[in-house]
Amino acid sequence: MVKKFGQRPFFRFKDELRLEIDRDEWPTDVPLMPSATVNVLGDGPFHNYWLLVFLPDMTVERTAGWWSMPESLDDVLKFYEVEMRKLGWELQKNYRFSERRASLEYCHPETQAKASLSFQRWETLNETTALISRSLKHPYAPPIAEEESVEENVEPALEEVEK
Amino acid sequence: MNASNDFKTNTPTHFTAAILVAIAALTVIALSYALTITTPAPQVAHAASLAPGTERLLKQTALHLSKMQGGASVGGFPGFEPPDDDGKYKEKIKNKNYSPRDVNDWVKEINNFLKQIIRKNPEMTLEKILTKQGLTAKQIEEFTFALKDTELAARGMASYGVDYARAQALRELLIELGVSLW
Repeated sequence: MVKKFGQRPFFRFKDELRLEIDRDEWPTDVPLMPSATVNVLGDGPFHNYWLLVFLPDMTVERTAGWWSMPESLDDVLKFYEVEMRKLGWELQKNYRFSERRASLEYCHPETQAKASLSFQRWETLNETTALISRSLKHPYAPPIAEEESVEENVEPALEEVEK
Repeated sequence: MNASNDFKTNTPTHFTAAILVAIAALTVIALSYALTITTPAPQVAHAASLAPGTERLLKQTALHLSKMQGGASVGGFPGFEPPDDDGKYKEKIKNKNYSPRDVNDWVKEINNFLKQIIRKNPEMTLEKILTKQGLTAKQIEEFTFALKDTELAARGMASYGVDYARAQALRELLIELGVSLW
């Protein structure tokens, strides 16, 4: 079920909340090529999103976007290798699967954020697509005050009431 | 004199020891030879320990992943090729002209294959399964990246044609297979 809150559509499912984001809301620590536009599939644009996953011991923040660029796969890879290094990311994995496909995985030593980038060249469309995700884990423990207030509100047992 | 006595008393001991060493050496050689001819190659031994039908399921999974990659081969498995007489489908795959509804169908199939792979090979990670299947480290990464990409894309298309519960199920299956999503 999609609901509107102001101008921003959001979607809730079990332990997840997905918010759609515009290009200017894209995380500034993961660069985009100036030519990058939102990837378009058969039915229309891919809705880039910011996802919050609520797990018992952590909240996972995950931003995902699917972008299209006219540059070649080699040029796109060069751009990310240079720009990610400038922003302090450390390369963890670097795979060139074929002439048309490549993937990079980064970790940021300061924030412990992870970035995963998958590239695909579409020759007939003369474009390269990049499926990029950035995730960050936030540890979670219920605040003590919250626990105490829950205890205070618990109704007394029947024996206690009878006394 | 002492030296002569030593020679007399030590010679049989040396002789016996030499024979024992020779027998031990021959035993080791014989055993190693027997092991060489009876132990199959590691990959063959690994592949044999995967449940029957797993290879077919992996191949089917790769085929569906390939649809979102323009028909490219994924993890060394053959890529998807639409029928020659279906120009529309060919164009759809070649130019990523597919809709979220197509992705919904593909994710449904992928989930179905992954469920069977897990059921047939309990307690095994995807990495272990693919290693036993004989994939190289690079092919394993390619297969895993394609799955993670599909999960990310499906989640973005949820409520636009992809069933959110289906995208969620894919996430849970990947976690069960030990694939790190974040």
